[in-house]
Amino acid sequence: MASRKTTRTRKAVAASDGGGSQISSSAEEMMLAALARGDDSFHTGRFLATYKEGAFDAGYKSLTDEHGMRVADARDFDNQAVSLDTASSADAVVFPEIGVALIGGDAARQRGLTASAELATDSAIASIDPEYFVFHHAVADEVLRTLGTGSPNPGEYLRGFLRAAETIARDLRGAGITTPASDHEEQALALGATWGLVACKVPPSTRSGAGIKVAVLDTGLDLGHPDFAGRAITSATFVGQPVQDLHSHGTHCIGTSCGPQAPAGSTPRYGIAYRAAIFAGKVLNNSGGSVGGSVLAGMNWAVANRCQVISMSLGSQAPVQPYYTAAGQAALNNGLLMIAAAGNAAAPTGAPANSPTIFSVAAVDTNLMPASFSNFGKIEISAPGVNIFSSVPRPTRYGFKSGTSMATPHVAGCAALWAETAATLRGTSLWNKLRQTAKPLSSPATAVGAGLVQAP
Amino acid sequence: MATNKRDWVVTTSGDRPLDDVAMDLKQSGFKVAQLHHEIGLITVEGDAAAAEKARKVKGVTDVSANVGADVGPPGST
Repeated sequence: MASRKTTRTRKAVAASDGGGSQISSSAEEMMLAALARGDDSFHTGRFLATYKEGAFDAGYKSLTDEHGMRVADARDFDNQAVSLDTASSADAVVFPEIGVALIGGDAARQRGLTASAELATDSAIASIDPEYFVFHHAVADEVLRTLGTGSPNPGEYLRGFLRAAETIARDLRGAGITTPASDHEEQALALGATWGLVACKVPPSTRSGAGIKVAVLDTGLDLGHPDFAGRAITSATFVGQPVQDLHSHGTHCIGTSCGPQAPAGSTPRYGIAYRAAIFAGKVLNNSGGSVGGSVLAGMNWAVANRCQVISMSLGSQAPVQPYYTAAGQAALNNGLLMIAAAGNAAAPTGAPANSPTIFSVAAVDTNLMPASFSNFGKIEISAPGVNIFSSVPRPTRYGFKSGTSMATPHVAGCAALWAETAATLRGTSLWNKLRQTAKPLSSPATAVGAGLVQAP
Repeated sequence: MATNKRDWVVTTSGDRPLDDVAMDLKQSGFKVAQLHHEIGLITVEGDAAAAEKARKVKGVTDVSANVGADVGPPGST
């Protein structure tokens, strides 16, 4: 994969350096750290020391002897293919072939080896520069396109970080995120709510999900997203990464199910159960995949917390799994309802939605026809799942996505509204209520179940 | 002979304490990863031979390979 270094004017960034910039830090950790410190410079937090010609050995020696650093040498790795994640105890890594040393942020700052350092004329070091994130061409182009200008506002650079991360993740899994559809955006603006919420009769509902706990088991949540400020949020991770969502799928799903009644500015309403207590369980990592038994651990957590609605926009094209069926039954036994995406393979419903104890959701488009990708067979209900506008992590904040993943939180949100209407509407009775009140559609039940979910 | 270890999920009947079932699973050759008390499941790591033994443990109703999950296939995120 070709890559290029994004050209930026060098600037002293020592003051903005912070955590997450160790030699072994992953790109995700450094992006998180950049977000935390409000850094808009593309700086990873680490530094690159370039040695003068013929001065590499002296420079190497000064790192260890003069500055007391623990130094890893690229020559110690097979074919000098350095794996930084295995150099966790190193303060710096030297690359003799190119006469450069990569220095961790903390180590550099503690020793005054940052970009603002005044180098002595007899120093072995020619210059010290901030290390910047490096993006694939297409990503860099997308960043600039997203920014929409040839001279982007520096304050917008973090948008590039997350957009780039999103694009990298998409590249890695070969998936496509639906591009924003301006006609749907205009429609939503005109209606004051997304087409999905309008189709589900959410705006006229007097219910808010108050008193209901909604668990969303996904890639986490942007915990600092302004649309969720002041909300009751309980979170947990089961994948060994912070709950903070670097994928965007989880933030989008939580936005639809539990987003605000009135987002700031001209942003249309996109959230349903705006007073529900949010339980954000990170069971999928920032690449969108489960880790070991993370999904089951999240299910267990949601049941332990007695979340009346448990939304799962995840799955695999697998036959019915007894353990998912058992988990769904445990939920029902406790008066809770597990809701899952049918899947996007235009094939029979996948797991866990195919379990008889788990409420399966198909996706429909703006014409209320089954989405081309939506799975079929064991379907309980359908919901909007094409060009769905909702929240995504900062600084982008909002975006469109398509999938049964997007249909599922429409059902979860409506389920929370129904659950609020009566304490008896729990588990199996809530299951039945959702189906009984669904709007009949012309497509067969194997494609859309009982019809389109409706708010009370 | 090389063994093919993988992740499994053990479903239980609820008739026995999960900790007791887990002890028996260890005897079957499994490495127990997590006990999910609320949903009656145990995640374990081991080979097919251990799975076969575990299916005979009292209180075990199923032993299946963990299929995992993700956000969905291409074009539908």
